[in-house]
Amino acid sequence: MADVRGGLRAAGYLAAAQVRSDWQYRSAFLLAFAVQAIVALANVVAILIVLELTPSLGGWSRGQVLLAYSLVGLTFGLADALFSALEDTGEMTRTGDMDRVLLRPVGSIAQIVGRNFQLRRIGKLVPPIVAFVWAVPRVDIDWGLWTVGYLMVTVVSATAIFAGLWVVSGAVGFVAVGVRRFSHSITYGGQQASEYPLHLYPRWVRLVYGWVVPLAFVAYLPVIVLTAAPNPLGIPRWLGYCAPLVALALCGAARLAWGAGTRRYQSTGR
Amino acid sequence: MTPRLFIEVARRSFRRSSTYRLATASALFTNTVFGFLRASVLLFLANGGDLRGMSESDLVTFAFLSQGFIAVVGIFNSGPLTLGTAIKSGDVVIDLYRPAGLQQWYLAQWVGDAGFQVLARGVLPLLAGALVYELTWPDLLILPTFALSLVLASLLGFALRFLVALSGFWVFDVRGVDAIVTLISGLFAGLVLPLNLFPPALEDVARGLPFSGMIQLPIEIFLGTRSGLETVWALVFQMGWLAALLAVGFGLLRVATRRLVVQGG
Amino acid sequence: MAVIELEDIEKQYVVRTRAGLFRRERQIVQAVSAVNLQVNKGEMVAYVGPNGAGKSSTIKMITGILQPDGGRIQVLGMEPMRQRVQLTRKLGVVFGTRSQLWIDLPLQDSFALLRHLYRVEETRFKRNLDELVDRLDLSTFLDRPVRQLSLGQRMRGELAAAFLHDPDLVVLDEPTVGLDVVAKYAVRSFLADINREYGTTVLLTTHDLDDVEQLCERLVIIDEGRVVLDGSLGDFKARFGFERIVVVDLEAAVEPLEIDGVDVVERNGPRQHLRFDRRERSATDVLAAVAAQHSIRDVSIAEPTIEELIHRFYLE
Repeated sequence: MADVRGGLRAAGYLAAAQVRSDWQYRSAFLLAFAVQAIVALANVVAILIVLELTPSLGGWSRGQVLLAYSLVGLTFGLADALFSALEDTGEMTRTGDMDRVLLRPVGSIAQIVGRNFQLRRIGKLVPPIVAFVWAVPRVDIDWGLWTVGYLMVTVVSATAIFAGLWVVSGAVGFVAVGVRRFSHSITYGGQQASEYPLHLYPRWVRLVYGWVVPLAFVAYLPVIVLTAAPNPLGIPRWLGYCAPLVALALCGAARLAWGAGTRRYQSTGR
Repeated sequence: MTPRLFIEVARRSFRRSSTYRLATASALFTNTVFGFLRASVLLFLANGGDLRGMSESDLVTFAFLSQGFIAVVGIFNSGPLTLGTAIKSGDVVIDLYRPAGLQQWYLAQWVGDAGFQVLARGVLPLLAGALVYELTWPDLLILPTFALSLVLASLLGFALRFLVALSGFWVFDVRGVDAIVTLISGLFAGLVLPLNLFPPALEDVARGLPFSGMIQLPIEIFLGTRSGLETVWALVFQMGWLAALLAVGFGLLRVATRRLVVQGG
Repeated sequence: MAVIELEDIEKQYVVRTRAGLFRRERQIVQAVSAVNLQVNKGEMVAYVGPNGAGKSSTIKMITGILQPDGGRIQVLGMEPMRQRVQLTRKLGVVFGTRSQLWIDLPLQDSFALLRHLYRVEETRFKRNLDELVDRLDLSTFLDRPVRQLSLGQRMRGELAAAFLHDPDLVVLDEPTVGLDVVAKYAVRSFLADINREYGTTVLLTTHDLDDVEQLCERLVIIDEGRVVLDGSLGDFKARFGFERIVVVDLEAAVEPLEIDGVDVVERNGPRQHLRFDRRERSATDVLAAVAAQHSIRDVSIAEPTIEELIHRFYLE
């Protein structure tokens, strides 16, 4: 536990330093923030066009679809902003930066995350937040302490799930620089897949992007639980409360994969 | 720049791209996966019938073919971005010392890379899709026209990216410009959704922009949804925008180099 | 007490080369073979060898970021791989070609960050920093962003960064590469002082013979993965540094000079590079022989570089 705390502290200091460096080019930073926000619009525009074509997606209302989108956008955006630097392990191996990371008495994930923190990426959260504000009054949520708590736990767990995917992607990246794009089918592919309700997809996509890569827990199940959205697949409702467990398991597995990647790096020297 | 030099540069670029096997294979895999994801959504929307004049097999073909186009027209290709960063750092003077026009030099590189990408990443997503779905295959007679349209699409991609790179002479954050152009060109080329599915007013706008010539028009030719005259119009549209964008690039480059020379940068 | 102990260390790499369109050939490269090395506390050792000789592999194994394939390794009483994190707390590493400072931040911010990373307590950090600022003369540019520092200033910053947490062992990989004479002097005298006053053990790789000459009592040469020499620089030079090169500028460009026991190794207009063995002839002797044939406008004597010496050593 002391280890985790030390890592978090170190990552915090490193990230703060990174923000200080960015802040030296203030106008460029604000511009880049805006760029991130605009680029993130693409996904929501696509969903809006689809909703224009058809009033409901398999029984889900606009509000429900956009709520699901906003959960994905928010949590993927957070994980992307914080953890996507991890996918560069291949590149870091090539440049030798990985050596420097291993020569310091702090966990490697914490160091890489902290060192590459870019506040501007938070710009990606703007469209999902707007979508969330738009969607909430249009869905039937029984607001109370319980729902707020559930929502918060969902956001944290979903962010952790996406973060786990980035860690795995980084672990795979130790193999070679080129495999990074392979992992994109899981990270960006996962984001893409989970923006639409799971019941749209054929069975194998549901299996892969719903359960093997456990993205059903990110937005699909929470929207069912929160808004009593139609559940044409008949997924047991209690699964909607398992996101924290799934996130823990995935992060544990990701941690092991990362360890294996580091050991591989240390034994092959590349 | 002599044709000979152009070919030599293009050949080296082809070979250079072909050395990144693992990267190419993994990108191909991801393109294909996205093809399946997009095809699934489109099929759901079609709900067993037609969608805005496209049959189910048209829609699926569109999804996979557009994934094959990504690398060829360079939607995410930030290759000329190296030029953009070279401009920012001032290293561009090295490029300017070459006895060949900067635009032709980068064009030759682009052509070589695109040639490799057609072979490596252009066809396979479509074939993977064909394993699972029924696709719309084109009339053999239309293939040469499609090929011409594809070449024009790739060149349009180049002309666009070259402008992005040149923006480095005036804009601090080339990467930001690059990201926005990537977003806009992906959306309005038809990569995210076929343009026919856009709300009519938005579709009209999209069809007037050069991006539609990068994916939507060549794929319509492939699917045979355009009549003879419409096909000719599509090619003229592509050529017109290509000439315009290349000319703008050429003009801006001259202004920029003059400025660079005057500044002694 | 031994700070570094290597016993029969082995390291192989698998290299895949292209053979034909799709076929790849696997090749095993022996990077380090049966290396034995013992460095005691307070020693300052130069570890030299040509590029690709196995230097950096050895260093990586000593610092715990590379796993040896065989042999036994102990550093500061720890097993580097297994106890990497503990080891890093007592270890300082400087790469001459790679910075560990934050390029866009003032130099002192890098130090503050490193304090947190290594969890150096405030008072100790203050004391160490004051001392390092004083010794390395950093005070004039502490608040300047690292990207604005000259190469020499930056390297002084790197050194301070590596010593902030009171390491027992410091590994320096080409710390003087690219520096001018003044900066090299600053780096060397700092290392010599710290080593003398605190008994910090230093392992240094370099291509610069002057580094070795001015800093290290002991020289270890590695080539093709093997330690080929472990002794003092004096011994080494006495055994192999018997070659001298005299560069003469003549009045005019002439045919290569023909003098007994002297080879012309390079000829460039009126300038000729003459190589001879100083056990057989003296420099004055050679110059007299040249002067007997032509008039000489200028003369200089070149020391062989360490690479040349090692190369010689192999031709023996």
